[in-house]
Amino acid sequence: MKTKLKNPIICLLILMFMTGLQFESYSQGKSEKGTEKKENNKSKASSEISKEVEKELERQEGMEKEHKEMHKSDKHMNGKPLKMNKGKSDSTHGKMHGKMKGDMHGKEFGHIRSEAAKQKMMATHENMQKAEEALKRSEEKIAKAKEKLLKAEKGESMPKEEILGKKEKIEKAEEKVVEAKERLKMQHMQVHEKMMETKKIKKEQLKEAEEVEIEGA
Amino acid sequence: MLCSAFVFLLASCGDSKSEKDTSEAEIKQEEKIADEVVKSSEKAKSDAEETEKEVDKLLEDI
Repeated sequence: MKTKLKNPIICLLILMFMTGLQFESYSQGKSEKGTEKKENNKSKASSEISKEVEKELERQEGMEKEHKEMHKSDKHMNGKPLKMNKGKSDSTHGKMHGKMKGDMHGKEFGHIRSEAAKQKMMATHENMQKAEEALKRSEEKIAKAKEKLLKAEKGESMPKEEILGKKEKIEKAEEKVVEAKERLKMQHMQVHEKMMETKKIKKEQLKEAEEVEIEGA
Repeated sequence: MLCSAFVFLLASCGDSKSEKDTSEAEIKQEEKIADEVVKSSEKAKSDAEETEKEVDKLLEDI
């Protein structure tokens, strides 16, 4: 009985030893091959990297151009493109404050690889602009109504009760626009955060790739 | 021996497969985020347009 039990254990041990040896020799061979390959491909790798960097830069430039062209047709800006830094300092860079900051999205789109995703991002930009335009139109209408009511008040062509009723309506409309603006601001922030998420993913992957390269070297 | 063969197979296939997987996963994630962003922007647009309609109604007789 004892010899029967010992045999499979011995076989198993031998098998484990063999696999260990083979794995070791394989890994040694791989590392040797790797170093040889690295030496041979050093010149190749550097040229490939520079080519990739050039391609990425070209892609980003293309996206920025597209974005600028899109902004040329902005009606609410009277045909002027949106500027990234409207104020005096550069510290506004990256802060959205509920407004589109022109080239910002162009750069963000540059980090997105899928064409479909890029198109969706452009559609997002258009939607947000349309929302802003709708609220701007509402504000203009309110301003006109206020002016009209002021004239009527001065000319005393309207009874006081009617004027008060209309004033209340204008105030309500103003409140609605303010609330909608707040909501839009929040949604804009969410959109921006999600865009930054894609950027973050890209950065993390680049970092990982770099780490792998360093480990390989 | 079977075990060792399996280990070799995994080691040789692992590198190229993982690279492909990460790039595909990256694109899928980008598209997923883009979908979410489009949806929220559409919501923002319809919300603003609805507000405009409400304002129009309030200012109708002014």
